[in-house]
Amino acid sequence: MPESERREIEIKIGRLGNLEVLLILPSLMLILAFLLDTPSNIAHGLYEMIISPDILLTDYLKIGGIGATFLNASILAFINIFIIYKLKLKINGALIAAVFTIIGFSFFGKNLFNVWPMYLGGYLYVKYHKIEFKNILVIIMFSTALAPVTSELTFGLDASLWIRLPIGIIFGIFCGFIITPLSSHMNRLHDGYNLYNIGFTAGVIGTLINSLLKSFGINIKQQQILSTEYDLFLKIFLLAFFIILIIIGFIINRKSFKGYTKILIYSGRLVCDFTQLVGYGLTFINMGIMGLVSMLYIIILRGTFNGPIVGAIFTIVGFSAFGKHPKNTIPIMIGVLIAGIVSIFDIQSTTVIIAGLFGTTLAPLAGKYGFGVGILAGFLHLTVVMNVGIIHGGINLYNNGFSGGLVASILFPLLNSFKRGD
Amino acid sequence: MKYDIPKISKIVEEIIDFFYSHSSKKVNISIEDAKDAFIIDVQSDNIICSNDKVKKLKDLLSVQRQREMEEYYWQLAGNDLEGDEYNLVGMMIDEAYIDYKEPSLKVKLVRYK
Repeated sequence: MPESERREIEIKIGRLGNLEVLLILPSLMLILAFLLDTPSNIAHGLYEMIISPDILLTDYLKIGGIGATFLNASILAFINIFIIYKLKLKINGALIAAVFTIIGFSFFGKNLFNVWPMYLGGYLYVKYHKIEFKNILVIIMFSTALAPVTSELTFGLDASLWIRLPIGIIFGIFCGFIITPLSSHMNRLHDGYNLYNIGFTAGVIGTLINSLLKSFGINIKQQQILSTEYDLFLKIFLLAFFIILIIIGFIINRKSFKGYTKILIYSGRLVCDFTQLVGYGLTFINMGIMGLVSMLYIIILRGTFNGPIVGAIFTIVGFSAFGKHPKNTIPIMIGVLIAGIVSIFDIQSTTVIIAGLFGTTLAPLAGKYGFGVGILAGFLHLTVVMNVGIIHGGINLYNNGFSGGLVASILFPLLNSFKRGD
Repeated sequence: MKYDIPKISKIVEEIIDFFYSHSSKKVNISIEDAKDAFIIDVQSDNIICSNDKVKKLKDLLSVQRQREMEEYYWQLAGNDLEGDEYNLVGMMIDEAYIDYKEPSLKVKLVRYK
């Protein structure tokens, strides 16, 4: 959308204005962290989070408490937003998705210790290739999917800390160094029909690392540490935030929802940046609406709001600036639900519920090929995602992105081969 | 910059898609490796296309260059079988000039080094 046309449709809030919108969530979490918990509990909680192996599924709300989890998420968000600010990057859909994904996974796997080796690896990569760090920032922000590699090796190995710590950090740096060329290449396998492309890439890297570790007798055990005590509070918090997002979008869009249906015509296939295609106002409205849709899905399934589920919701909200909308995500959710009902899996379990939410990584398939294909993709996604975690041992936090990449890589060429015409 | 030539090829591929998906029978392409920029000219004298579609193409090509997007997603350019997503090309170039006088369309793209 050209700048002149954009100004007719929405109020211009500029780069700093958009950064301020991104700052709302971490600011709220920072304040709430200290209202809900004491500083000593928060400090202890942060320490517990850092020394945990962080492999899937490790709910920080259970390990560190709500104060420490909120502080962890807000600090990681503040630092990343500051990097975006310093590098003078224009806020686009991918950056919004990356920030919200980091916030989401700061509820189960990313913490103040384990993400930085990836950034260092990315820094070494740009130095090696003599390019600017801002060129790969989006990739590096998403690459923190492999943060548990650092934690698992640092705190999971049976050796002295002085041996474990450098090994964990070196492996993290290695992941950050290799992920840029790999992730760019992996896009070609699914042709942009898997939105969590780094999840696919990290799944492949995670498989390699897990295989290496197993070959040396180091077995990573997957776990399920989940909280139940913050269900009601999280519902209220998320509901309030999504309403705030919709109100901000409504105001930017000149106090109107006009044009929202334009979003629904896009398939969502990468690269589908709603901030450029329909403007920031409608993008924020879409993000708020998708947050509410995700909450409704969990409430219908009678699921309990915990760290991984909140993480999944924030990831969807972020990607609602970069490809997701109700029309291309709901078929996927229905497909996962049907698979959950007819298969051996418990549809109220956190793993199945988050599969329904994260499964929307396949939204472009529904957007491009229709409702039926969306249901089929969702159905296949659940069956695959419940079985691929063991391959990488849970060290890839974006397990659903890995599964989504596999499903999209199979479905996309098949669907095209059966399509009539050229 | 690394992969500059493959990126230029992807951009050209995407633009050619537009011409051929709008009934062009002959497309002329010129790619110049100038001192500061790559300049791509694509032209056809027999394209069947509405003004709205040309405007949409212009809008999508005129978005700001975004190197962080380019590094991650450039390999997707030119891959869409229906060739209707040109905003990625817009993110990979600095300037786009479009001249449409039915049935002749000229597209000039500039990508600074």
